[in-house]
Amino acid sequence: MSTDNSEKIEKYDLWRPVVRPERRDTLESLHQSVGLSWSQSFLENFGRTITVVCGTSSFEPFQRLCEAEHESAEIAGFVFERAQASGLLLVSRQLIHNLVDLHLGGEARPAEKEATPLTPLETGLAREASTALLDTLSQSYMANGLGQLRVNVRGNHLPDLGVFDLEDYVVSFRYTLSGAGVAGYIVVALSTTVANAVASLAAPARASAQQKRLRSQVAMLPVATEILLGTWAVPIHELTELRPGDTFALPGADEGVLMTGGGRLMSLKIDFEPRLVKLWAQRRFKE
Amino acid sequence: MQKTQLVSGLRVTISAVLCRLKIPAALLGDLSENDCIEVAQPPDVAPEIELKVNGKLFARATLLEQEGTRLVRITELVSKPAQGGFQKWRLVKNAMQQV
Repeated sequence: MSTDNSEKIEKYDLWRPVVRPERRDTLESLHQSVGLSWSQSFLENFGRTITVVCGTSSFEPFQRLCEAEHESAEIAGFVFERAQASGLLLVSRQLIHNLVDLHLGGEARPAEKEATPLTPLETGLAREASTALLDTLSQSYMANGLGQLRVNVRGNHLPDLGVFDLEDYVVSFRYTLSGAGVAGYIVVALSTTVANAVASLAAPARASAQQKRLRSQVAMLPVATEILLGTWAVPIHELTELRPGDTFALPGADEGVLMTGGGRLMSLKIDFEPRLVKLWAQRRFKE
Repeated sequence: MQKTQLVSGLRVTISAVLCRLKIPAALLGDLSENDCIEVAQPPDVAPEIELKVNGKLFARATLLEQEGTRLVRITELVSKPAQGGFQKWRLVKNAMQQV
């Protein structure tokens, strides 16, 4: 019997920890919501729609993760203050470059073939971007009873950090990003003891986990809106006489309306600044 | 009164649009008083706006401010109508007599 095409059968490690299904569901649900929170914070910080989706999760020895993530990246190792557990956040090199581009007010540039070293300023911004991601992660963990994160080590290569031993099993979640020209990914890896620390979902909640995920994804769907400065009626003959260079006054000095689907959603106060326009939400229309 | 005078006296609605944004539904739903949406603008350039007639783009303009009054200066008349979105229609004259 030939074994050439057969799947590689791996030895089962007797010391391999067990993560119960309900704990795994809780962890997955928690990390799906982290992706949603990151998407929202990107929108708040950069004004861009960047969708972060927790695509895959895995349970494997740390060595495998090191083999898969051998490229240089922005990595922070952390411990949970309440739970006896540790973890790490890895932001891929490409994503770090893109986040730095956005922080500097530019457009996210595509990946370069050769790794360009970051300048000291860019290194600072990369650290800041990683810290912002960690803050959001920490808030989600706190809400789920794991306590606050405390970063204890930073680096660029996984094996150098000493967060885990190579044979340690870790639960890892891989997030992909899309939108605003951003590419790259984020990996969150946690020690298996975290699974025991999270409160397990009740059975009905487990059944609705899929629905919650769907609702989260629907909630992130982009809606086309317009910022209207004003409307007014003019006779057609005045309209046909308009020429480039003509100037006329707009009603309302600093007011506008947020429109969606042809309807008025909210009144706005508008501030024009040298590099940005600030739209202050005022009153929601009832119509 | 001639027909052309009648037509030219008709009034149409102009709207001035500062920008279009794609905002996730959840954020739109949560938007409340004093939340601020910041929209990046190129430096040292007056904000550009679009003028629409009955929802169709007809001119581009820049936004100026003079003594607290917001002014619009037309920079370009758009001769090509906005892409797509037109409904098919037909005209039936004296339809009541054909029944």
